[in-house]
Amino acid sequence: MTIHQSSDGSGQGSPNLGFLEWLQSMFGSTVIPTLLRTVKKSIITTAVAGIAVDIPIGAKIIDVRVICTTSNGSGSMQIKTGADTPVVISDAIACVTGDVLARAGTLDTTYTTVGTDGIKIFSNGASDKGDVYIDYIM
Amino acid sequence: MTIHQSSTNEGQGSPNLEYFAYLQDNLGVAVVPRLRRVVKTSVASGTSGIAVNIPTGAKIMDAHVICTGESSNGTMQVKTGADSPDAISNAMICATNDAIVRAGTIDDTFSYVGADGIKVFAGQVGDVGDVYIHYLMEQ
Repeated sequence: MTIHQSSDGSGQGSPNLGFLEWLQSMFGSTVIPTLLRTVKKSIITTAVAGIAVDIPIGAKIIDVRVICTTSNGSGSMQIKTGADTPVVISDAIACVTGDVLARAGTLDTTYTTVGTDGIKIFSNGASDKGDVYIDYIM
Repeated sequence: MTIHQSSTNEGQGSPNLEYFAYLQDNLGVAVVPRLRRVVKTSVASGTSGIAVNIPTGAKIMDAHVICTGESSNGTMQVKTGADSPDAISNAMICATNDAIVRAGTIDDTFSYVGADGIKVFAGQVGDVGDVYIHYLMEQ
């Protein structure tokens, strides 16, 4: 790692204070929440009962896509809340053919803000396998 | 905010200078403008346009709508904020609650945000939805 010298005060040493000032101007409190974040969850074991996703409380889910990793008839992945009685967030996204990319067709905005119950991914069948990508902002 | 002690040179005190150097190397001027940003605009009534908080110079590269109500023939469209707005996206269908519809076209003539800013226009009274505009700061 290179430790850069300061550009605005040799007596202040490193790191580059000009860079820090620029960083601060670029990543203000109005910018950080707009940065698109994507969490990937690989479904490699049965997700019929739901598999939790690591996503922060308060996140706003704005899109979901699935890249199927195994062909399986009637396969699908669906996003729901992590409550004991899960509530549907996305439609069931087809995951039938290996390598096929499919996107959510619906998102219920009533539940797209992540609450304390978190989020889970549910597969239709025990052998449905795929990578689920959830886009969110803060 | 936690101010971490330096792990590289205690004589330099906090914050962690190694971390700042890492940021400098990995989050520099060539990277930050490429980070995709998404701004959300909730439209409850917007036939005359709702201004979007998006910086001048931003490059709009995608848009999508998640419809929040039923409205036959409903649409949402991204346009410039000029007195005579120019279309940036096509009119995205917003007719069915919860449906996600992505922009089919983005007019690159107007996709750089200018001084007039950006507005989201509902096609008709009663069209409601959350419009997400994706943009970069890369020129």
